[in-house]
Amino acid sequence: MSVKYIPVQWNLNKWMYDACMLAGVAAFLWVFIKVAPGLLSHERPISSQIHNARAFGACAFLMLSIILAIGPLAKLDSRFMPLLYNRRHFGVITAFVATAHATYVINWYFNFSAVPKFEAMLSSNTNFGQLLGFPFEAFGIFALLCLLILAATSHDFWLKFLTAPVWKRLHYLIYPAYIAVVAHISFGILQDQQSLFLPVFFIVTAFAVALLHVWAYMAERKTGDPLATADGDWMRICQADEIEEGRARIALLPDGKRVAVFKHEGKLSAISNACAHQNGPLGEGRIIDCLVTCPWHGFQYRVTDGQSPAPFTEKIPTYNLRVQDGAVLVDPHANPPGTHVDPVEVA
Amino acid sequence: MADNKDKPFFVGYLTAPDGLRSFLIGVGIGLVLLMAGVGLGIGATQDDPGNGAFRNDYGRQTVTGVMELTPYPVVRVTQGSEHVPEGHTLMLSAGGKQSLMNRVRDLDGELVTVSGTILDRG
Repeated sequence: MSVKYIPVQWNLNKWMYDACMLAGVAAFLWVFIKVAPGLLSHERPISSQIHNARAFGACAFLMLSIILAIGPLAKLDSRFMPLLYNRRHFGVITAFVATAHATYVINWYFNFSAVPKFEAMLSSNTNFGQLLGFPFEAFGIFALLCLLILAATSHDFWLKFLTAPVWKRLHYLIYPAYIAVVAHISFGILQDQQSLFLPVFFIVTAFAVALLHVWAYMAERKTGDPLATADGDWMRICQADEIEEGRARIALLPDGKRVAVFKHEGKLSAISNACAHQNGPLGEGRIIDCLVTCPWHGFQYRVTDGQSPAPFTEKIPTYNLRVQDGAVLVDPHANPPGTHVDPVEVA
Repeated sequence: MADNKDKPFFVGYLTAPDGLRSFLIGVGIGLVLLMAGVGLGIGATQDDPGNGAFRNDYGRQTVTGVMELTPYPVVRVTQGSEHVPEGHTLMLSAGGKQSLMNRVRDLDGELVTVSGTILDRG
């Protein structure tokens, strides 16, 4: 949360996160570039430009796979939720690593000719009509452009400027980018690979990422938020005594939006489940220091009016609520963001 | 989603709760080890690029043959040398990626004499 834009709002956890990530990248590149050549029994060494291109390319694939695994892991086991916290930094560094891979490739394979290197990259293979020898570079270019767009728009300025729903949809580009990377590798280096390690690692990793997403989707369907049931013009959420102090129950409303009913100091309040920052699930958060705290990035709101405490300016919609015969009923028509609603005493 | 009421709650700008700290340290260490391990695995199992090399020990070779430009410039040797027998097909190369075509463009089908260093592809 911030009242003004700064490049990075550093804190201890972000330092730790970035330190681990950069240590991982440094370890990968150091081992690949400095240690591995000594273990190869080749008569002649691999050209350093090719070796470096492979190192950065493989590193980018692994990083992208890890990034994509974080989301479903966090859904399956909330202990992984902190890995979401600074995932954008992971993505930005991945874009840098992928750019380094592309730079080595372009400056080696497409350089040293009368044709400018970028023109050579786009024109040297145009066999788009055949599978064998397909210009796999096109997949890599597409993936890199996606990663650069995501990195360039990763800052909260763009999140606010584009609005959270648009920004999130834009950042779903990570999925086509990953599919393009898989195709880039499949039609590229795997076509001429004799060693088994890379193909096995690549296939296992790509399948693991896909499987995690399917697994998390199935788990979400199985234990997902219940649909609120109609009770006249109101929607029935749950029994009031089912809500624990400082926690919420989430329900899906007929318009597809989710409402989170919190209990704070023995009284109930209903707010939108979508955080104004990145649409994080507020109902999975907790009340800390009298404020609903988002589990994704810690944005906070007063439970009675959906407003962030001054000097912050974020607002979310609230809902009118009543308790009838022990059941929590919510008016499905949301109030404008920031509207105060008196909390309801649990009878 | 699954009820996580009994699990520690992480807020990015606050100190990580005790129940989560050791898990996150383990994940961090695991990440570094995983990346180092994968780097080693892929890096140390790269295919052999072969033993291609300039055969400077042969010295400069001069042969005569018929030039063919399609699909790539080659010479069908009709009169060989010490290390290039008659009947051999020599694939030609030159500095850079374009200079060879510039030099042989007009020689398709011609009887030519070429001279240079043998580059063994391995």
